[in-house]
Amino acid sequence: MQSKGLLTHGGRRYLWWAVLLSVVSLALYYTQAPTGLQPPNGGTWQGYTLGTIGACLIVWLSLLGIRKRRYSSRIGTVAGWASAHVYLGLALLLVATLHCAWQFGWNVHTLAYALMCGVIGSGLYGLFVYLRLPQAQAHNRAGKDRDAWIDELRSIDTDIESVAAKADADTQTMGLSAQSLTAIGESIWAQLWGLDRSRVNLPKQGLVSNADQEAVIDYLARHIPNARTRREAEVLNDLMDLFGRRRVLLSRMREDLRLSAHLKIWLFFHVPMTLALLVALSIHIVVVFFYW
Amino acid sequence: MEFLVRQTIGGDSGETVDSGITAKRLTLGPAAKDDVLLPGLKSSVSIVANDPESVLVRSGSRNLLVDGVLKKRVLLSHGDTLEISGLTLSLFLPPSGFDLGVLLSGSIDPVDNLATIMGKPPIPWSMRRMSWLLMCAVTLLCFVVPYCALKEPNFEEVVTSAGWPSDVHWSSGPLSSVHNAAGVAEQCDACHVQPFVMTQDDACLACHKTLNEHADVNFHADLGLEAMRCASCHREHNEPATLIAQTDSLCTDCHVDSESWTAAEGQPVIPVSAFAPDQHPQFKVAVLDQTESPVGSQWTRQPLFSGGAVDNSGLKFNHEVHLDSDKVADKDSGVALECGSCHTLTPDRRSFEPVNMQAHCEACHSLAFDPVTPDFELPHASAREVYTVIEGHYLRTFLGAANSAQVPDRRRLGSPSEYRTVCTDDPYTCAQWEAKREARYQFEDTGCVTCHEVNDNNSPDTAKRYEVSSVHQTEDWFMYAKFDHRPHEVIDGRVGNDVCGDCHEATTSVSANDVLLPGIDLCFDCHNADVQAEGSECVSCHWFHPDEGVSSVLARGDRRGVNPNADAWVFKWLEK
Repeated sequence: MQSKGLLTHGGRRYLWWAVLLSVVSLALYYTQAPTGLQPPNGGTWQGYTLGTIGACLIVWLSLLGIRKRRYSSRIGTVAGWASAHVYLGLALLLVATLHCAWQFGWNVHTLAYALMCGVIGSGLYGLFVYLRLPQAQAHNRAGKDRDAWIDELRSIDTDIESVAAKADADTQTMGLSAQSLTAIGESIWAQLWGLDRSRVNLPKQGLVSNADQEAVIDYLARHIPNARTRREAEVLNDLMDLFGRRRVLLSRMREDLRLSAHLKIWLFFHVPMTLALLVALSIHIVVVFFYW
Repeated sequence: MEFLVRQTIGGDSGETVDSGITAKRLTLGPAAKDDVLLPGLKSSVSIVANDPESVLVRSGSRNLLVDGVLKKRVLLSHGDTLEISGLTLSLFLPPSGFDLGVLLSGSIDPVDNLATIMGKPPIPWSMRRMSWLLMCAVTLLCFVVPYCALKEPNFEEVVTSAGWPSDVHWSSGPLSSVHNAAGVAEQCDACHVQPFVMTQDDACLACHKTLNEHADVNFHADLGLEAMRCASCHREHNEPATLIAQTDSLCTDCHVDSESWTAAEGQPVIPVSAFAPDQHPQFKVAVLDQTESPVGSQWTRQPLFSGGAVDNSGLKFNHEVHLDSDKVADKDSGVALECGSCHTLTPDRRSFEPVNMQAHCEACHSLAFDPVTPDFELPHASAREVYTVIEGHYLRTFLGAANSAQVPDRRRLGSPSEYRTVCTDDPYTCAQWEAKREARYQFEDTGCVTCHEVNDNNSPDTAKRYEVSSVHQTEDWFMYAKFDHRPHEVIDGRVGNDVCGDCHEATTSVSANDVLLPGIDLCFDCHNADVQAEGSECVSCHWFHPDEGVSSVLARGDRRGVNPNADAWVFKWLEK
């Protein structure tokens, strides 16, 4: 799969680059004498070297956003860039940590570090979902797409309307309200957690939660034994069957939205924080030399 | 307010559903919190009574269609209609018990709505907008505000009082405790005088005025010391704070081959490579050299355990006797003396307060001399003053007795048998005779001479005959090293004499000439650079800047204002 290629691209060559970079960084860090003129920190020549490597890495990693839009570019393949982005981005965490030598405080330098951690953390989450969720999404879709689901839902709802027309007014009102009050992914939280905030107007009860179409199916199931005629029982039975199909379909749609949201949401953190990091990094470099 | 919402659902043949809602304002919308749930709406619509005849309808998006125009805010009266995403909204006269009737007709196709969401799920925020917001916030808070506060004192006050970020938040780490003080901690430019220029010596020497150079930078020009800034060694803003460099190489880089140096006053500087056996010379102690010299007595350094390492304090003292509980005990408590009975550490715990007669000796060694007047004591002063007091005392005693026609019976308990015990001469002669006898007793037998060296020049004038040697108590035995007693006061749970005795062999010392200091080998038991034991760094005992020498203010004055990095390209670029 394409997503798995992120890690295996080019025989994992960028993994070895990242390992090499990490080893070099550790070697640089440990050449700082613990009892020297100063403890390991960003102000030793090793610290400056690690800082320069880290800053260059950050800028280069940010360029992926540009490179992937330059379809005509011949500077490597996007797959190669993405693979290097993952491995070298992870190595950046070590490089930057060794650069600052675990010295943190309430200052712009730690802000830059925190933003970098946020970017790497969101990137890690992005990597995780790209490796895991597409498979789950394909499995959930079972060969269908969203348009097919919409067509099927419209068909079910049409059937519900026609069947409900044969039922009494209460049942008809309930069925129609269950349709109009069906909610899917109306907010980002509902998408991310697959929340179902559907409601239904039940006779004598008013508006109640209809999550997973449970309330309406339950109502129908309870009223089938009380049907006065066989025809009424058949109508209620048909409606229950239709709402059961509706439940399965909505559940798949909701799950699809949930997986899509997880596949996308991290970018809404990753990209803005990357740009904020570039600004914080610039300020970090300027003020370090401003107050040399 | 009581709203009656009437919804027609299911098209023309559908039913009407009435809902009574009590609220200040009625909300219709897609969120669960809305009073009337309309999943088809993109944003909530609120309805508030304006006057008895009209309501104010407001929407989060521009989707209120009136007369073909989309609006966000509409004043709706009875008889008017309003379209919201396919829904028709109008007012009707409600039955009694309700204040306002709201009629919703038509419907949004729920599947269309779901199809819209599935096609383009709602996004919480714009990635581009969030990027700009974050970038601007970081720039503003982390650079613009601190920089403006730095340049504009009035704005700095605002920033400080409001708790906004200032240039303090540009600090790369905490200041060491000595610099974390008013005038420095919040004032970055107290040290960072010129932007983009490393902290210069001027900033340090503005406060550290009495500091001396390790060596004369002019005399030792070849060492390149003048290129070293104060901050080259004293690095700030680090965790852990290491304002004083601990590295031995700072010393041993030069001192390892010091044999080749031309040392001042012909004294060779002994090579040192580490505080470890065979790599550091035996300790030298400061002793008073009382041999005749043009300048009189002077302090010299002598290797421990050498013939020259003799304490010439001018005192006589037997540590062995005083620490023997069978022979000496505290007069008040009756318990044996311990080291701390006489030796009190100075507040800096490096040396000891001088032992003095009044505090440490007088309780046992009283200066009372006449059994007839036991409360009258000699002054602890020069021999001449002491004799004057003795002579005066006996003159008063004998002349006073003559006037009362009584001849005192002078008898000293324990006096040598050859002394006369009764004086039959005239009172003046008796007084003189008794005074001279007492002086001999004090300065030759068992008084002052018990603790002090006394010179007898056999002068016929007793007032000038004796001279008590001056006392020189050594406060710092090591002229070029410091010893901190604090970490050595408790060892393995032991305190007091036990611990003192580990290093100072006082219990076997019978002479005040003994220098009761341990040799270097004893220190190696715990502090040894070869095994990387703690406290074996050079600066654990030595300091870089000597108490005496070339003043740093004078030595570095010529370099004031010079930027050692002025040739760097970045500064040339900045100067443009």
